[in-house]
Amino acid sequence: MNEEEIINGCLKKNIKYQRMLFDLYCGKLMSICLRYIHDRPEAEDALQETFIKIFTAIHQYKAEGSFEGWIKRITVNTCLKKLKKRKITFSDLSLSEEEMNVSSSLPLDTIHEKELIRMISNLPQGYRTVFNLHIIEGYTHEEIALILNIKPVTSRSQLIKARRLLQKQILLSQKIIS
Amino acid sequence: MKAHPFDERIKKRLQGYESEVPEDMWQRIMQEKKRPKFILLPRRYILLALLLLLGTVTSVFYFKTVDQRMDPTLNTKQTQRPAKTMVIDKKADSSNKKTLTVIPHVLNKRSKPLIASSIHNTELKRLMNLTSKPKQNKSAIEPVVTKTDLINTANSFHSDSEHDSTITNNALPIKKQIVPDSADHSITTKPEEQNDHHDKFSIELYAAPVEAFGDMKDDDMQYQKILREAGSTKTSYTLGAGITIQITKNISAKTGLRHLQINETMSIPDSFRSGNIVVKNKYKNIGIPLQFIMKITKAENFSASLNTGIVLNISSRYIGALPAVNYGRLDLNKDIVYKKNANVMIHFGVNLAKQLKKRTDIFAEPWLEYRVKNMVNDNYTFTRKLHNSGVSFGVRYRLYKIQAP
Repeated sequence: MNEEEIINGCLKKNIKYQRMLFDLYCGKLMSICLRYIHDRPEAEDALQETFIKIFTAIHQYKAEGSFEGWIKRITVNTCLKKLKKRKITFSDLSLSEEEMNVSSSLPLDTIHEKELIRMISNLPQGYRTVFNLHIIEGYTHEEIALILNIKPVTSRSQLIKARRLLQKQILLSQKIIS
Repeated sequence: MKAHPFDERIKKRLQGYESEVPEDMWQRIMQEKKRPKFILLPRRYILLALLLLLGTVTSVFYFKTVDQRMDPTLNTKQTQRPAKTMVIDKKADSSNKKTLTVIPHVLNKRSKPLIASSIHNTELKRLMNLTSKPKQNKSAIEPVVTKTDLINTANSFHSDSEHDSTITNNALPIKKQIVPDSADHSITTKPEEQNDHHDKFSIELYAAPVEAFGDMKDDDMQYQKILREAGSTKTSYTLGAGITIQITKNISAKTGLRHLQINETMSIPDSFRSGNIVVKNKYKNIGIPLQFIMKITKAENFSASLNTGIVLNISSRYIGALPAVNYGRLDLNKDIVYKKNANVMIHFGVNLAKQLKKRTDIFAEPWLEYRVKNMVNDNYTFTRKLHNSGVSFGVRYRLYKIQAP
């Protein structure tokens, strides 16, 4: 069954097709929620809310652009809405000069994705949000500034520090493994 | 800007990764879908509605009380007060003689009413005519006959077995032919304007240029930006007809029918995404105003009043399009973007009227309307509230005449 059939079935509010859509995308959307929201139960709530929104607003998708891209966008917006309710704090941790340098040859291949997601979700809220929006979702700093109501320069500095902290966590986990 | 290698590697690892999902997640989604949604108005709207209701009720009672204090005739209890009235109670007997009980106000409270029996009809009529003559002096409220006169008259009548037809008008010396106002109402028929504040209808026709304003909102900030920058509202208009009923001297209620059209231009990407096309949107609504009008000032030919209430939207039709989230196009009609019966608008205006003729006024009313609820269907992620402002110009025709002072 192809994507178009599933979408048409969901447009008719057919539960069977809605279940198919859920089975197809729930894993990917869950990983997005876990990247944005540190607390697991809250991330599950965000996923639940996302699917309800998708089923309700599916006729808004006009078959132009990727459907997966559309539902991922809804997921990110749902997560951001949850975070904004509690106010996203943009902390400014001071890092040493050594910590500020990020090596591109970090052993990322040895780290499981689940562990990587856990490390990202452990980042301070502001770092984590900017990191996800820029690195994974592909928003520019100007767009992130608009979304989060911050200055582009704040977005850039948060990203740099997010990279540094993530590197530190990866190195630490490597030391533990070795 | 060249992507950092570290970022690329992270992105490559995480894109497409699927996390574990709780087994009961589907059941939770189904349960949430089935849960009936109770939509409670935000607290500020409830508070606003309560304030409006309280203000209206208070004003009705306040102005009603003011009216009664200023115009005693509105209060029927006052007309029954014996202090300034002369009440005549007639009882006819079979011999065509009338027993007359006269209770002049000049008597003190301890006095018993005088009873004059066997008064001839002509004499009775004369007495009544005397008391019913129009007043000549506003300030003087004096009895038609004095106490002594009445007593003498009563005694003279009482002593005679038959009425002496030779008694003429001169039998009762009349000091002054001045009758208090209230005497008229008790003895003669009710004046025409006894209930002059009720059943007063007016009809009106009006038109107004309208400016609509209000933002569109969406959780997706990019889409929100697209919607807000895609177009703008243009000068719109409204036409209406109304009927007003006067409740008290200063308060009226109004209803009627109103047609409102809001115009808008939208820039929508074309199908090939090579450029934009401009679409002219039209939002047509039929509404029923339910309003209270409170007179705040009145000069000779001019009056000003506050007009508050609601406009109930009963029918809507939308023509045009909006940009969709994925560079597509939402057809307002086909895609049922907006609600058909788009709820209630709170209306507030100041009506300035000038009397042209006895029954005709022209008026101008600057007003503001606030849309209570979101007008976009719940199936869409974005929300919109379009509020309106305008100046109505119209003609009002009173179905009653204003009495000359």
